[in-house]
Amino acid sequence: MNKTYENLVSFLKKAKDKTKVYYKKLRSNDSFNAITGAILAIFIGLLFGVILMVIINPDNAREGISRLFKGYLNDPRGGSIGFAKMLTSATPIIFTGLAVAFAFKTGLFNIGASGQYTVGLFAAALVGILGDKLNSFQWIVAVLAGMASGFIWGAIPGIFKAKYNVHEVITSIMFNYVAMYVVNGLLNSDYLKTKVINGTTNRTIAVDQNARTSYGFFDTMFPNSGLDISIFIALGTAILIYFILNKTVFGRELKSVGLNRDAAKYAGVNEKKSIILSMAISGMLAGLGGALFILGPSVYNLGNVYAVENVIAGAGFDGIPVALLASSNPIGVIFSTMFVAYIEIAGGPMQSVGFVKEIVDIIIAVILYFSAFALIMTQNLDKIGTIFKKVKFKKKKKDDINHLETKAGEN
Amino acid sequence: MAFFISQAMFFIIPLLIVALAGMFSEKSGTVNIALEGLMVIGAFVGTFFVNRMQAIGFLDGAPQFLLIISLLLAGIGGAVFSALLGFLAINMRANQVIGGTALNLLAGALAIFLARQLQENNAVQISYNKEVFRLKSGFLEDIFPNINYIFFDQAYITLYIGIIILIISTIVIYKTKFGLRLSACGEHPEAAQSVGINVYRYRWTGVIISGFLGGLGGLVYALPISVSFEGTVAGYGFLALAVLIFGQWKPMRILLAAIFFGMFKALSVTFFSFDWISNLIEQYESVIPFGTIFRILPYLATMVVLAISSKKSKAPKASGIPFNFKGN
Repeated sequence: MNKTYENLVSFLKKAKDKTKVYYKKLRSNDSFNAITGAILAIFIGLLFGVILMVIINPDNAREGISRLFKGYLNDPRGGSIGFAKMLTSATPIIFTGLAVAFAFKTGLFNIGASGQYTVGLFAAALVGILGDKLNSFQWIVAVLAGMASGFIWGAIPGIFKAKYNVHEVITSIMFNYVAMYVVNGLLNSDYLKTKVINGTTNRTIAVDQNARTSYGFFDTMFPNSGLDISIFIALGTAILIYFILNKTVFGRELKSVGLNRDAAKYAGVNEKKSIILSMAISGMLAGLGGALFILGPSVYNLGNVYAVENVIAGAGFDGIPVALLASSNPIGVIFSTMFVAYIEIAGGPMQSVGFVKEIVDIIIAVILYFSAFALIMTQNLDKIGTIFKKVKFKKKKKDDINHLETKAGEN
Repeated sequence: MAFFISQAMFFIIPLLIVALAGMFSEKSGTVNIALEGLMVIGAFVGTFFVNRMQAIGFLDGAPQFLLIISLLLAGIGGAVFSALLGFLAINMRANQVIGGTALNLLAGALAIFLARQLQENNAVQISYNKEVFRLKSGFLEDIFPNINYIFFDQAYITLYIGIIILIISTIVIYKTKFGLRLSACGEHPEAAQSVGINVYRYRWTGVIISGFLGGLGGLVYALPISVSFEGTVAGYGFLALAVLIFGQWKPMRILLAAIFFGMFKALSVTFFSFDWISNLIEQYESVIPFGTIFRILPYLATMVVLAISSKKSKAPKASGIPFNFKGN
């Protein structure tokens, strides 16, 4: 009896030590901390949104909040179609998110995904509309054109950074506006205006059937939801980027320049070339996103269009929160994009019960705000433990003192 | 020409104020990418106040007084919003570029959200009558009609407020104990701490001043160029950041940089008012896309100038680096 008890105690003790070791290992794991931090930030952001909704419209809050959390399930054509629509809207954001994440991993902050997305979209649209002689190659050429123009547009801030030491945040932001004005100017030029623009709507016309992305088997699975094979290209690209960054010498070199430019230079890495290439590849990813967006068959095979307005593309900016929320992990980008798409798709249904859809944008911004110090928050989670220990310790000390005092009293 | 200069003023003054806003923050050691967001918040608070007061006819007889009150409110709005940056950058020691980006996103969403929530029919636009705020003074009209046009007839009081802010900023940064200590916190916070300067407090003050000026600058930008505010300042905060870098964190050079960019920006909206450009356009319209060129010129000029001036950057050394006070 006594022996079994002792065995049990030693077993429990061992188990406790093991969990402690395991926990310590987990705590020092970067991706564990990143994920806990992101989840904490998401929790705070959603809580903030819920409180906001209760304050501004208490009568409809219950319905509004339930619609927010239902996400794609709100779709009138059913949850599965809603799910497909969510994936459709998420696809370009995965690319711009990957663009921001890739640059960030190599120590660069690419706010210019919007401009790179726009030029990629524009180049792909031109090939898709004017290149009808290419026949079955039209799609491939359009995608390559989009990637190439994104590559070039991304390389510019890289060149400015590498050669002239101009901060890439400033350059890439400037080139968002330059891209938008140049593309809009070209679309309004005499040559393109009649061929590419629909005069009444001031939008581009849809690309040729030959240039459109295939629906794949999604057409029968989720009819008329707009979901096409680009989602697979997005997932594949994310895995490829993860592989390049973590498993290749090239990726290591790029990352080493991001960590310490001078050290990398000393180690024999051509740091200027690395910076330019990082930004260019980042731009290429955003350009690919733009191309696949405009080449997408869209709902009921109507094709996507680009509106000629003097507003820079929002898809580029959506890439920033998803990349940062994922701590710039390419695989994480997939999940964070899905999360953002999930709550963003609830914006419309929320509107019909009296909540403006900007609440979702606010929630995302709050999440990003908190994820900026998520790592510090997760580190403080441990501190909460030590605070408890301290309280205990103080109490013990107090007890000791009391004990001593009573002893002294006895004497 | 008078029309061009008067238009240029509407771009130069806000750029100047907002770049100075960025300067106060960066001098103290906090990078302020959120200038754009601060401008949006300031423009929202200011235009919304003007909209409501004009609707009920408050201070109709004293428009300049109303404008000054709304400028103060815009500044306070910006200062409150900048506290979010201060908390994140100073207390939480987080990545300031990510935090600033979050605040830029938040400001845009918040402005549209509040505009829709507070106005009838969920309207995003906040409209106002800006004409009442023009100075419309006939001072010097008979002797120098052009100068009168630029500085006293078409101008807003914000022109003079901008100049006053520039003068005060220069004095504060270079001639006061506060300014020198602020700069010390951005150059070498450990050294500052070692001589008994509370780095956290100075950084917080820098960020709050930055927020106040950024918010105020947002209204100064939004009011003259449009008849309504739609929740965006069109990347002007980033342009101001470029002005700050080109101005090498020095008030007078910031003024020159602001004039340089303001001129280009004004050119992109007034190029048709110059006869020789109009003639050029008429001749070569079919070959050269003038509209696009003039629109992208301010951005390209920024890039070229930054490429030339960034080699020997005089940025505060500790700017963007979180300060961690290791007590006893």
